[in-house]
Amino acid sequence: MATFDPGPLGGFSGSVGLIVGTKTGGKNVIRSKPGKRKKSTLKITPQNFRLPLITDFLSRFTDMINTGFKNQKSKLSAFNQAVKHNLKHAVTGESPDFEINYRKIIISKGKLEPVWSGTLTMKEGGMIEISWEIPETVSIKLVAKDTSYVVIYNSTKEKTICWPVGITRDQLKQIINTGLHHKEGDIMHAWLFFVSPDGKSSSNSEYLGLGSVLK
Amino acid sequence: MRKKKKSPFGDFIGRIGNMVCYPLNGQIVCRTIGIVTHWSEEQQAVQMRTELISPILIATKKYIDAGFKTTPRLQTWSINNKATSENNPSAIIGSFPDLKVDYSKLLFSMGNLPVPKNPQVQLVNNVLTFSWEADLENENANDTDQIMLLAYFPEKLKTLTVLSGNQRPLEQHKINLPTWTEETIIETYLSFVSDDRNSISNSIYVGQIMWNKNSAGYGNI
Repeated sequence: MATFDPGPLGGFSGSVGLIVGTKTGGKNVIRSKPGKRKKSTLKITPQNFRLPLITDFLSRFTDMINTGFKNQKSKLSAFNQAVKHNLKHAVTGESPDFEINYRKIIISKGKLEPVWSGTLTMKEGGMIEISWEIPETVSIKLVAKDTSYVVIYNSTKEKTICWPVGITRDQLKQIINTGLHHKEGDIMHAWLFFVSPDGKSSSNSEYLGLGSVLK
Repeated sequence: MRKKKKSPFGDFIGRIGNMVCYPLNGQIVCRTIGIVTHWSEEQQAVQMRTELISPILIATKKYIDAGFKTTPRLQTWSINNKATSENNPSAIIGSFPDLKVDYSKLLFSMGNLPVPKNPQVQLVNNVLTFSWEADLENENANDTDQIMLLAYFPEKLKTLTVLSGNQRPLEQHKINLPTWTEETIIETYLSFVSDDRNSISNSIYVGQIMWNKNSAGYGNI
């Protein structure tokens, strides 16, 4: 596979002889024509178990990852950056019994002021209270209008709630209704991160812990 | 990566084989490019040192930007370049692959002002109290100098930074810490900065504090 800069006649798309021109991620790419694919004779490696585990998990939060990783200087897409980081840090265990370490999952990465003292509290009626603090060493004027982004994952039912609602950092608290799909006793994991008002900067995401739903 | 001097044929920019040359901060640099299948042990040691130091410098960027702003550096160097060169490898101890960071040797500011004398830090009821001696007899010390404080949480890669703390004669500055539920380590540092921000002292390591929800911590060198 090779990339090329388009000439005065523009890019090239389609097949000519044995090569195929296409556009991937904004770049003009030339690759060889696909041939008949033989069934792989390679043995199954640990990566065959690890990669689907993490991509399946992260694909539930694609929108949040696109927000949380979009400001990183990388040639990789936001989702690929998230997969790369979490594959390295958040997968534990021995092949083929790999598991996800929820504590180390990262949904956002950046230089904005991090989440301080983030907590998860389960309330009656299926409500979840997320709270955080602003240290006295941080300028309130700079961080007050950052928007909170909350991701909640129900590991019992493998369902997700993403909450990109405009609660500002100076409100210090956010209450979320889990809805009817999540029943009493379901285990919920939560992550929190902040995005600046102009959307150009995000903080590292913080794992807030787990709790079971109270109805 | 190495710099390329100008030759009679001018500056070359582009790729020849596995070498690529391009302009960076006003000079032409050349480096190898492509997939490397084998790293020597020395190269792996350099990579590991960078892995250890870089996250610290990223987390403390606010302090370093103020701390190395007035420090002389090469024209083509950024503040981060200067901070990296002062800490890597001088703040790394051990031999590969057992390298680790010596937090007492990290440097977050550099200058001619005298360093805080007899620095101490104490943790009582969630309040971190830094103290020092005014040392006004020193000819370079001024009573308008302000303290700069850094509390670094190495496990979480977070920092609490105060760039304009109390003045030198007050000999004390307190920080209220946010609520914390897990046991954690705090590494603490101090510097003095002049009122006009044109002079700064070297940063000095005050000590490590083990912060438990229910216990008070205490640390000094």
